Amino acid sequence: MADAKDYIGKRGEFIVAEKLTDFCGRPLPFFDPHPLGEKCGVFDFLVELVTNDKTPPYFLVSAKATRKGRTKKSLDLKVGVKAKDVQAMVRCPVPAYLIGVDEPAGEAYIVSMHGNVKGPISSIPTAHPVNTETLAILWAEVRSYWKTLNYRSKNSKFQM
Amino acid sequence: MAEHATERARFTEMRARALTNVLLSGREDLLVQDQSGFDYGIDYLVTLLSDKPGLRQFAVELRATYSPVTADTANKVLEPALQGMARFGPFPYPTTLFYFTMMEPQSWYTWVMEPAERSDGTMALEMREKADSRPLNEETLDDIIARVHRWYDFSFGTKLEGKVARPARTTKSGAKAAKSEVVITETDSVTFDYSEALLQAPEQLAAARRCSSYIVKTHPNPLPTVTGWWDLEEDRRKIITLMITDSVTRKSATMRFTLRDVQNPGHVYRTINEHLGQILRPG
Repeated sequence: MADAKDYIGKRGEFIVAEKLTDFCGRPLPFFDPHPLGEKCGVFDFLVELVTNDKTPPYFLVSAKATRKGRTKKSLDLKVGVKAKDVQAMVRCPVPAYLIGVDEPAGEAYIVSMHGNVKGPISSIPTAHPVNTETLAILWAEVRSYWKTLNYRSKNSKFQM
Repeated sequence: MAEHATERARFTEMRARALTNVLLSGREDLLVQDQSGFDYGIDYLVTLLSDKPGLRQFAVELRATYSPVTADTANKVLEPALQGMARFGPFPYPTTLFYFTMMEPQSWYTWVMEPAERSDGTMALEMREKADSRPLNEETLDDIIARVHRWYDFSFGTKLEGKVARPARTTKSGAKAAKSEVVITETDSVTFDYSEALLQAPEQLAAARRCSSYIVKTHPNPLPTVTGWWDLEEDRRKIITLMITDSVTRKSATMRFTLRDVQNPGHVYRTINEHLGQILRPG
């Protein structure tokens, strides 16, 4: 059982890396993801924005893959995150996102982890599939955050 | 401009790896080992997990480009890559080259060391120096794996009405083959023995035994005249040594490994291969 869980988790990370490295028809992709490895408990990727900025803005990503599918009514993706991990993500001063992966479909959905989210989380909305449009918005959102560097103004189009 | 090109090359390679990981991890019967840290001409060594007998592996080398390409263009572009791989080859397992493009979802693959079915019903591993690019996707990955299984079925003698069949030596005929080799698994291959000191070190011993088994199963030729002696260095007992000796040429070579090294049988196998040539060469 643990093996199957590990496999799904690893595959989820592969799918997230693949989504984030999409060139989206541009000369360079939007993002430069760096896997954090198994020792980093909450987050799976540190993702730098591909920019000409001297110090590239970045954000953190936790990837959660599932084979459980979606909820019946809201069609949310059934991914589980423990309350303590949710709190760790929300407290993080760096922009933090949760990317849920529908493993059998190979699709990924993003939500921002900030504000009053306390958790635990049992599912996430699928309003924001990780595609070209979403990646462009995400890039602008993170860049904007680092321009102002105002933690209290932390806001997101990818709210839960 | 040059910096931009370098960046693009880096991202292109990164994405090629990401696409490969997603493709290969789509099948749960594959164990994928990243070999890109070693300069042996392959990026991934893939082990097929199945109930079938024998260690079944194939290798994957990656190439990628930014612009979309047709199969014909891919064939032309990949020719130097195949020639470059020929310098590392022949490989002891089926080997493919994956070719990704960044600007469209179309990907390609071509065989480098192809399991070829011959007219007399035998099979051979043939090294290609001309690319024959075909679309790469989940379905064609299934085809690749089925082909690899057929090769090992033949190689290990698990088909052909129960007869133990050995692969035939290949010749340069028919398809364009640069040079070719076959995988033969013989029971009278290289034999290994273990020192008393190593027998007292369970972790090192287990790893050394795994390497021995891997070498016997993977080496393309039987090596009945070669013996291997595993030992621990007296003064630095964390170093594991392997001395290989050929009884005909009476030459030997000693290799030194860390525990981490011997936990990677592929690495030990490649190191042994580098020394085998010199100890088997007479004079």
